[in-house]
Amino acid sequence: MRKFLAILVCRVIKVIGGFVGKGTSLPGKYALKLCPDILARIQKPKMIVAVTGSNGKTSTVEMIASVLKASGKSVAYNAEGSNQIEGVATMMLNSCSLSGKMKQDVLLIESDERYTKYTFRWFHPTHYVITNLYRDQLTRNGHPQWVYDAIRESVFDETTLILNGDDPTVSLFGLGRENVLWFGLDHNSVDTEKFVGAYNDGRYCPVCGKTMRYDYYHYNHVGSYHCDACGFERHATDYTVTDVDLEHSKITVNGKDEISLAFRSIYNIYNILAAYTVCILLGIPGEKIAALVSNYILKNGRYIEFRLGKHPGTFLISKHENSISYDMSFKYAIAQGAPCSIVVIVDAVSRKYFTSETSWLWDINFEQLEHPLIENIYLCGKYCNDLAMRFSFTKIAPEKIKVFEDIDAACADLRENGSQQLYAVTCFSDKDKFMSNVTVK
Amino acid sequence: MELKLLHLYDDVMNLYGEYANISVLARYLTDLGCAVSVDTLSLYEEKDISGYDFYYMGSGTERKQKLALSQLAKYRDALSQACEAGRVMLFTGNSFELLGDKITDADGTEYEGLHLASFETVEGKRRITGDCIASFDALNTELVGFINKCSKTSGVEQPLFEMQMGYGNEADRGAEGFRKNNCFGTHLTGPILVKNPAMLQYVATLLGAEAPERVSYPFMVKGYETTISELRKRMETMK
Repeated sequence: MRKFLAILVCRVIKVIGGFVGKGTSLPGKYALKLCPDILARIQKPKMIVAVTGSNGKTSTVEMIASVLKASGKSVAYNAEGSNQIEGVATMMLNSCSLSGKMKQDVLLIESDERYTKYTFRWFHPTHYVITNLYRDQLTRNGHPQWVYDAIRESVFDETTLILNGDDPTVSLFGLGRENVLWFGLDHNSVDTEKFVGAYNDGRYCPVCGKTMRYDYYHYNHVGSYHCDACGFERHATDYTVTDVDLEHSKITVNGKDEISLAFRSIYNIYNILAAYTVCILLGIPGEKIAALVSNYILKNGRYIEFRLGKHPGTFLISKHENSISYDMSFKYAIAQGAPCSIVVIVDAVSRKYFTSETSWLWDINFEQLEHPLIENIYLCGKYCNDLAMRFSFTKIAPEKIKVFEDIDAACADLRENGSQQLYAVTCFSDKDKFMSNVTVK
Repeated sequence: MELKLLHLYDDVMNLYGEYANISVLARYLTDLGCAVSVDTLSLYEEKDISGYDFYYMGSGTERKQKLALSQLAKYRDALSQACEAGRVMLFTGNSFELLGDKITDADGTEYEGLHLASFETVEGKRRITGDCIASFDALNTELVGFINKCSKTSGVEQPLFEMQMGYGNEADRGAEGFRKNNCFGTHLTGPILVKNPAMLQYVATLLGAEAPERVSYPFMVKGYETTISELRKRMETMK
């Protein structure tokens, strides 16, 4: 009876919430109050796939869902990105019958990395993807090892782990375990022999603490690592990007399946590979997956084309408090090969909670912007002074840097004095303050 | 004047952009006319660490903090002598816990500290994070920062700050950090010398730089003003 009531309440609130624009976590929250073990009591599909990690959760889940749907499989998933237990409950209770039965082939869950243990207290995934673990929202998350410990509490013996073998912290989950499938990238054209970044979290072995060596890096501390002291090393991968051809925007998986990239970033490559791996395990043929994810444009698009006066531009959504996402965006902008202006905006550090903390700016590899293609750099928003201070410690010529607290004023100046091509790099929390000044194609 | 700065374990105790403390101090002292050299001590390196004018260490994960402690033990006497001699030393984040008698981790395992002072730290499973305003009796300016820890420290004889907003050594607000001679420990994380121009000036004064008020960095000052004003607003709404 409580189960029925909880499902009903969840749906009613979801409908009401839909009218006021709040309907992803509140319904689940009330349902869980009425019936705390409701998630255990729902009859779930045989296949339960969970995805967690610092980056790429939403994109990976979206691609898996898209492939499954196009392959004739039914799937319930939290498309709206509400990824704590309340959001998962909202999704599950709206996807089941009133008697609590989910009839879909697959239950697919994006799970917040720090709170995933609360969701999986009530049921266990059959397949669990962990994408990567690195410095992200440290004002809430503490640090990556803290998050690792939190995820650990949601990893159960019977679950098949699907791990990014190129990330040493993620790989720890697979130590001494049989039911693990590994994905990763072979040595490829984007690699560097030397570490590139403002800090190296892969310098010491996460198992024994001794110095870790890398044969090559894909980006930051993600790559091919080994520890001579204890033998910890990158595990051989089961699902592998065997070739990366960024020039022609394509990758090859397992030596046979070619996939075209709508967005030429290494993040996108990892997300595609994780999605490919899951879909193979769910019985979809590789060539079919490759066709379906080829040129896939994400709904939660991480880039938007715009125009500001006579200037074409690309908005690259990054995440505040996540230095690697900035590193990636700058790398992408430079790789496009056009002389350009870069706009960096830090106005509201978070849209979800208060903080005035800007230490993370020192973790961003702004040094890569010292590049002949970067003609000028606009530092904008409330924390433009912190940005300017950080930039004063790079080798970038000070005359290339303009500082604007007011984002509208920066846009007015860009219109007049910006380079032909523009790249705007900031977080969701500051996106609209910039986009209100431009025309989206 | 020649000044030698030593950044201890910059390769492991570097969780929140702490290297910027050394970068900004070196720049400031140089701009004040000092001849500055910066050295680092990496995790497994062995060298004579006596004779430096300034010692610094930042924060690490709980595991890396223990790793740092395992290596730092051999430098106990050198650090203790530097502290007794009144050398300027700054330990931010959980590096300051290393200077006490012991650290007990969340599983109850005890780690012997360096015994520079007789306080103790106990780690727990709850993360304590938040923006902070701290007052410091040596300065009439409020300091800004961020606390990011999972521990409580008790038995500090001479705390460093009084927290107006944010978590102290053992409780919300109240006493924070520790001081002994010119050795300073605080759980404020990150580049506190960049965020707080007054603190930077204070450290430079202790190091003997003459009339440090001659040099200031406008972006740094404005950055501080933005943050303190945001934090004061925040404190008002929390009341």
